[in-house]
This record gives sequence, structure tokens and C-alpha cells, in this order.
Amino acid sequence: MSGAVDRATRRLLRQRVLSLFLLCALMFWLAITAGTYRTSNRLSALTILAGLGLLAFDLLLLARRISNATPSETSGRLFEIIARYAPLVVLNLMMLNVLAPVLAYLAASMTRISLLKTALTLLGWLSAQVLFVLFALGIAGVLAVTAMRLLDRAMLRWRPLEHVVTVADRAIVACTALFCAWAVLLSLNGSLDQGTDVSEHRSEILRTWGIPNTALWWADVRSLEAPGGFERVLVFPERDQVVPTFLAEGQHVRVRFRRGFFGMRWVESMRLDFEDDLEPLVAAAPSAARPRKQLIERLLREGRWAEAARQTITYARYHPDDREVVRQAATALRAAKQAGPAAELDRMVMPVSQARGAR
Amino acid sequence: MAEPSSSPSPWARFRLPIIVAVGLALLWLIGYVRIHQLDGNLVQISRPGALVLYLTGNYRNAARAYRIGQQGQIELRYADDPTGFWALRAGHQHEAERRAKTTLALVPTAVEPQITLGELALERGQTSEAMRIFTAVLRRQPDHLDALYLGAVAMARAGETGSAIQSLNRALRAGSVGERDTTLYRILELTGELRGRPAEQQPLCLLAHLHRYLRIFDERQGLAAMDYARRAVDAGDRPAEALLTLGVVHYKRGEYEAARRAMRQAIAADPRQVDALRWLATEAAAVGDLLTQYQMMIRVFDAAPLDPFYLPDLERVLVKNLGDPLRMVALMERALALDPANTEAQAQLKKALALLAGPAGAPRRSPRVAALSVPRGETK
Repeated sequence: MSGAVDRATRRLLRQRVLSLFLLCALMFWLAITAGTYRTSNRLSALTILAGLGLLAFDLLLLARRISNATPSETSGRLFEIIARYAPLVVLNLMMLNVLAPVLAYLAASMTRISLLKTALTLLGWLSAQVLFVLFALGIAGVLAVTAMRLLDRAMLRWRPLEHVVTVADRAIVACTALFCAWAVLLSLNGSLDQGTDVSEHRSEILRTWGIPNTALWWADVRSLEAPGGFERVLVFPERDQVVPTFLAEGQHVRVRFRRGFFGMRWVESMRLDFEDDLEPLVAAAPSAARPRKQLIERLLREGRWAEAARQTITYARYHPDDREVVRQAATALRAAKQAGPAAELDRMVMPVSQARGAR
Repeated sequence: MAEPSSSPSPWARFRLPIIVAVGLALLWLIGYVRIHQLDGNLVQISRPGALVLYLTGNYRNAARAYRIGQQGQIELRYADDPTGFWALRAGHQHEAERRAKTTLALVPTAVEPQITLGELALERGQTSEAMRIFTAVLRRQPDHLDALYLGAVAMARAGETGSAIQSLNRALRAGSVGERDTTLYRILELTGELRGRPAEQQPLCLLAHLHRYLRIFDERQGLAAMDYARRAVDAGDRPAEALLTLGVVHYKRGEYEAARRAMRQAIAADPRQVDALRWLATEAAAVGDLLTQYQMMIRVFDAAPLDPFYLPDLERVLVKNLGDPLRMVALMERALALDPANTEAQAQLKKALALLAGPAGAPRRSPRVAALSVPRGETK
């Protein structure tokens, strides 16, 4: 069995273009996965950036291998045909692009599933955007391969360059292998972490930075509870429920950490935190029920009993029909052995209950 | 891998076709980048010349060419076009006028035929007549979008720049371009006319707003809007409105931080810049910042207590987000004291009072409401 795997691996490695292409795909996937299980270390938080940077180098290597490749007889013939008729291929794609909506309509109107329907559906997808991507990739590919051919010629004329290229080639492959190992470690650290060791830190954003028009944005945050250095968090809009451009210096956030399967702490989520705004909000909107209820909950949680009782009394004055809040606060105060404030709140609820009981 | 290939490339003989193919693809990419941001109204297959004029920045003639592209036979009978708009769109001015006047004779309160007559006056260069008509329509329906946009065109031609900007802002806040597809070309034509003036005579802030409108149809117009807005700020030409436009365009381009900065500058320039205040409230709501949302919406109400447009937003903050119908009641009573005919305020007051109703359903007027509210008629 291992012999068969060994043979298959060797055969794949001999396929120099295919193996590097697969490595590029693996790199991309691992970079994204490592980003998903982001760590907060200021260097390891940049894993995804390193991965995508390395991927760019891998793509250059791929272009070089393509430019030096000797295609098989069949694929060589196919490439020859495509290359010979390249202008016609481009023109046909442009025409198909114009007809794409009609083809999509035809495909949609066909009820029976057939090869023709599938073909028409595929051609119907050839929207201008798809064609834009195809052409842009095609041009980039042709330019990269041409650049690599020129590099090969320069290497023939100037030997030291050959040495530099060889070293760079090996360095890229070595770095890629190291990155893959590191990314696998990070991914397993997060994905295998089923523990309950979760901690939440209140932090302040020191700065946000990233690459414009991409998803690669980081927030450097400083914990308010354990002052010291800063931590770096890759912003993950789906989990953090905030887009990077909404984050700004000075905003407060709650960062939720998990311990990690290998003990490497990773960030589960980072949410904007407006809890500090509760008191000013209550002061600005004294009759608003929701913020005052939240403030009472927070004060009870923090053991600020007298303030909690005072806020509850004010709440009851604005919302005399909502006895439940007063009752809950009184219960919490009693449980905390705060008999005095609890009794005061009880007095506010009692007459109504007695009156109801008498009815 | 490091072994360089010394053999000639197998592709060498296909160099020419590949270069031609790359050239063709490049041309297509350039064309795509130039055109894909344009709305269908600007890409009329029957009038390619109009598109060329538009792309070369000759807006005045482009607008006229686009309008000619809309003209032709009248395809609808009077019964299907009682406002006369389709006749006007097809270029039949007399027929449009006849239809609009016939309808007005039958239904004197109809608004749409009035707008057709206003548009017709614009077409004939009768600016003061157009203004009179649109002002009359807006008196009856203050948020009629076509009347606001076309009225802005008439006001700008009459040199009433401030009113034109106000009218455009009032229309743009609704997030709609109006019903009539001729409006775009009238604004495009006006933009071309104003841009054609000597630099020192150009109304910079108005041009910023016109380009902001055109941005809805062509993303690149946003850059022109921002450029005019910055120049307007530097020249002191209604800086608060110019900053509002700058902020809106930044936002539309995904430049949120710059948008926030511009909006804050707008309210610093004019603390009653109601649309900038509302924008900041909406943005605060998007991140869950209730305090800022509340503060901004209260300032919106203080700046424009008579405008019913902002009341649903105010209700969202006060009643839905904060659970504060008491305050809503107080504010609506204040709005009704200023304008007892404000139907939106009446409806909001009714809704808020219903929330305050006691368990038996009887309206309960808390002593706090009286303390919070200003008695009706106080300002009379």
C-alpha cells in the first residue's frame, strides 16, 4: 500500500506544473483556514498575509515551470490550436458575452435536463464580469510566462543570476513547506479546540490598518483589564459582526479568546462594546426603559448594590406598570444579603400585589 | 527546476496571434472598465453618439442627444397617457400640452399633468413659468421627487442656487431618482451648462450636488462631485452642504472613515445640517452605538421639527431601540404644537400613546409625560 502511495507521490512530483499548481491551491486554502482560527500575537496574527504573499511567489514559480514545460503530445497539440487561433478565441468569447443573456434565457426555458441545456447554462454565465476575470487572468498569465522566458534568457547570459534564481526557487519552496506546517498547526489548534476555557477581555482599539479594498484588516487592541502590550486581531466580519472600516481608534471592544487545542490562544470573536455608554445614555434619555434596565443588570452584576437600588427606584417612577424589573432587582439584592435596599424595593411592589389580592 | 531552458520556446511561432489576442483582450478590458459602471440610461444602443459625447465630458450635447434618442412616434393614446408625459418624452410638445391640460380640466387637483407642464416650460426655456408650476406642486406635495428634481433645474437656471441645492438634497435623501427617465438628461444638460461657465462663475456647491445625482447612474461622477465639493468648501460656498455631499460620496465609495470625518465637519460648519446629523445617526445604528444614534436623532428633530420625513427614524430610535414612548409622546406634542396639521406626527403620537396605555387599554398619561412635553399651543 505504502509502495503505491510512494509511487503516486513520485509520479505527482514529476508532474512539475501540476504539483506546484496543487501546492498553490493548498497554500491558499491553508492561509484562509489559518485566518479563521486567528491568533492574537502581533506576528502570528499576520499568518494570512504571509500565506498570501508566499502564494504570489508560488504563482511566479508556477509561471516559470509553465514557461519551461514541455507539453505532452496531446496537450501540446491542443495548446498549438488555441495559440494559433487565439485572436478568434478572444473574439468568440466577446460575441458569446453579448449573447450570454439570450443563451441563459434559452437554457432556463428548456425543461428537460440535457447536455445542451448544461452547455447553454454554462455559456449563459459568461457575463461581462466573468469575461473580465478570464481576460485579466489570461493577460496576467501570458505576461508572467513571458517574463519568466526573459528571465531564462538573462540567466543564460549572466551566470550569477542563475545561482540567485536557484536559491530563490529553493527558498520559496522551503518557506512554503514551513508555512503549510505552521498553518496546519494553527488550524488544528482552533478546529480541535472543544474545551470550555473561554475568556473575554474588554479592550480599546489603538489603530486599525490593512490593505484597502481587501478583507485583510487588523485591529491593534490594548486590554483595559490587563494593561501591557497590545494584541493584534485579524478582523473577521462574519464572526465579529462589524466591517473593518467601521472600526476606529479609541472604540471599545470585547475580545473573546479560546485556549486552543495546543495551548495557543486564539480569538473567537471581537465585538464592539458600548457598555461604557450606558450611564451617559441613561442620563440623556432618563425615561428610556431599555438602557436603564441594562444598567441595573450591570450594576447588580458588578455588586454595586446601592446604585442598582437607586436606578431601580428611578425606573419604577418612569415605568410604574413594569413591576417585574423591581421584583427581580429586589430578589437579586436579597440574594446578595442587601436587606435594606431589597426591602425598599419590596415596598414599591407590595401595595399593588396586596391590592390585586384583595380584588 | 533551476535548470534554464536553452531551447527556443515551442510557442515562438505563435507569438503574433498571441500578441493580437492579448491586444484584443486588453481593448475589451479598457472598454469594460469605462462602460460597466454606467447605468442603462446612459448606454442607449440606438444613440451611440450620445454615449461618446457623454464619455468625452460634453454633457450638454450628450443630454440633448439622449433626449433625441427617446423621441419618435407617440405609442400611447390619451387614455393611457393622461399626464402627457409619454407624448412629451416622444418629443410631441403640443400633444403633451393638450393632454395635460385636458386632464387638468377634468381633475384640477391632478399633480402629474402639472409636472408635465412644468417640464414643458423647461423644454421651452420658460424658467419662471416652470418654477411657478413646480413651487405650486411642492406646496401640495413637499416630497414629490420629480417636482423636486425638475424644480431644482428651474431654480438653478433662474440663479437661485441655494433653493436648488435645498431641493436636490430633499430629493436625494429619499434614495430615489424619481419616476421620469427624462430627469436624468435635464440634470445632465444643466450640469453641462454650469460647467461651461467661466471658473469664477461656476456654482461649486450646486455642481457638487448635480454630480452627486449623476453618480447614481455613473460611479465615476462621484469623483467630480468630491472635487467640486472640496472646491466649494475652500471657496466658502455653502460648506456644510458641500461637506454633506463629500461625505455621501465617500460613503458610496466605501470610504467610511472619510465619510464620517466629512459628516462631522458638516455639522461643525452648520450644527443644524439635518441630513449630516441623520447620516451620523444611521451610521451609529449600524454599529450598535445607541448613545450617538440617540443624540444625533434628537438633534435632527430639534433642527427640523416640522419635517415628517425624519419622524419614522426618530420613532425607531426612541421607541424600538430605547423603549422610550414617553419621550416620543413629548416630542410629537412639540411637533404638533408647531404644526397641528402634521399628519405623520399625529400618527406617531397615536402609536406612542397606545404603547403607554394601561393594562385595560385606556390611555394612561403618566405625570412624567406632562413634565417632558411642551403644552400644545405654547408657541402660538
